[in-house]
Amino acid sequence: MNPIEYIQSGILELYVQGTATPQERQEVECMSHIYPEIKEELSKLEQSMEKYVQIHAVSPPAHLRSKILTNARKTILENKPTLETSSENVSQPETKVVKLTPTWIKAASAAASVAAIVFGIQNWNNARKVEVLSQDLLASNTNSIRMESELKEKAALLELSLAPTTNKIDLSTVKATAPDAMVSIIWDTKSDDVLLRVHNLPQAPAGKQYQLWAIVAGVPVDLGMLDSNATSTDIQNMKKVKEPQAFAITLEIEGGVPSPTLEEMYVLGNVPTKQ
Amino acid sequence: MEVFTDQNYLVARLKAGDEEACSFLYDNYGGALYGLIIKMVQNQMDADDLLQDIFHNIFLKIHSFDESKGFSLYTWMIRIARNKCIDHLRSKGRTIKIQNQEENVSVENDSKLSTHMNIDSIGLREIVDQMSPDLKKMIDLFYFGGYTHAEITELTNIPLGTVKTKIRNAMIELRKVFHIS
Repeated sequence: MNPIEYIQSGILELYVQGTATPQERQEVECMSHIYPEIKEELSKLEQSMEKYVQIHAVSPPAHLRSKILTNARKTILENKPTLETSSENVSQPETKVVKLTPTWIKAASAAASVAAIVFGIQNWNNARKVEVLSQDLLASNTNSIRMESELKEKAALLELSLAPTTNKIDLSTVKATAPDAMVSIIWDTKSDDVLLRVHNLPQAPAGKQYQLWAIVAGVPVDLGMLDSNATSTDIQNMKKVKEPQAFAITLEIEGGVPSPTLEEMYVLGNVPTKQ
Repeated sequence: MEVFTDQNYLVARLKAGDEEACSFLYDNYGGALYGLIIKMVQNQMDADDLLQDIFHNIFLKIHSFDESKGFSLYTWMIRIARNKCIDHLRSKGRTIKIQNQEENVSVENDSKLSTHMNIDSIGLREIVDQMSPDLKKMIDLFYFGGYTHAEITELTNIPLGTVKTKIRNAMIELRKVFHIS
């Protein structure tokens, strides 16, 4: 869908009028970042509605004014968001902890098998067996070294996802043919790191690949290609980005393109603005 | 009385709980919102309660209004008002029935209430009232009925594509009337 078709689809009228769904609202806001003509159209629709409502204005009964204004200040000040509520978008730790468990178990069982082997050597004291077992031990060691580095990686990830400077952004579907498409992004405001996990995206057809974009100052910026073989438990490290307003994923020809193909947008999500 | 010409400044003062900003908001937009409510609920007593509820909601939610996105505060308030009215109508058992809606959109404001409109509005109102009745009806269903395209299709039996085109044309027509370019 190009911007003109998008404008004609009627979604902008629904957005301004107020009956668009939260998902549609997010989509419109993101599209208005990307396309100035959509932003302009929104502004015209807003002005038209405002004027139309204005010319039907009716003065309210005078006694309502003091009723309404008496507690206005109190209402506003009592509902000021606190620091705690504004840091809501730090990612949920539970998911990460659950994800760590299998690795811990693997590491623990590797350690146990190493212990069993060492224990075995002492008992059996058989030269031939020792030789065979040494090879096993070596293999186990290599295995546990690999696991250790995996573990370190996970711990670093856990630390990053819990840091107060990170944002978790859920990218939800904008594609009617992929209603369950869902991708999560962790973006660190300090290091500008972007980590991505695909929860659900349709398998990319041969010759095609998903590409991640950030919208920065209204312009799409390439953040790299998604690994087509990644599973839903894999975390992918993407290109760094400063001050993104939104993230989006499009399906492009393998290797990527310099600017996104709008009709092939699958998911998008806005970066929450700090209050 | 301070005049707030800059929206971001007004929002900042509102968020700080500034009483002058609150008064400015009520004095400048109270009439427009009240007119919208009257049009939507067709009952002055309900409208009085709703206006209080709606302003309470506006003050409550002002912290979530993000001025950096460049959207209009007035539109945001209209949306809050409209959604509150839709909730109210639903709680009273509003169903999508063409007969009721025909009644709703054709009923004009009480003449006593209408006299409070300002002169500029009257001139524009006349021009708007001279628009093609077909398009005018679509605008009223959309803005004052608070119906979606799909609901209007259900109400009027006009196909969805046609409803979308009519509303779009009505919006373009409104732009001409209001000199929005």
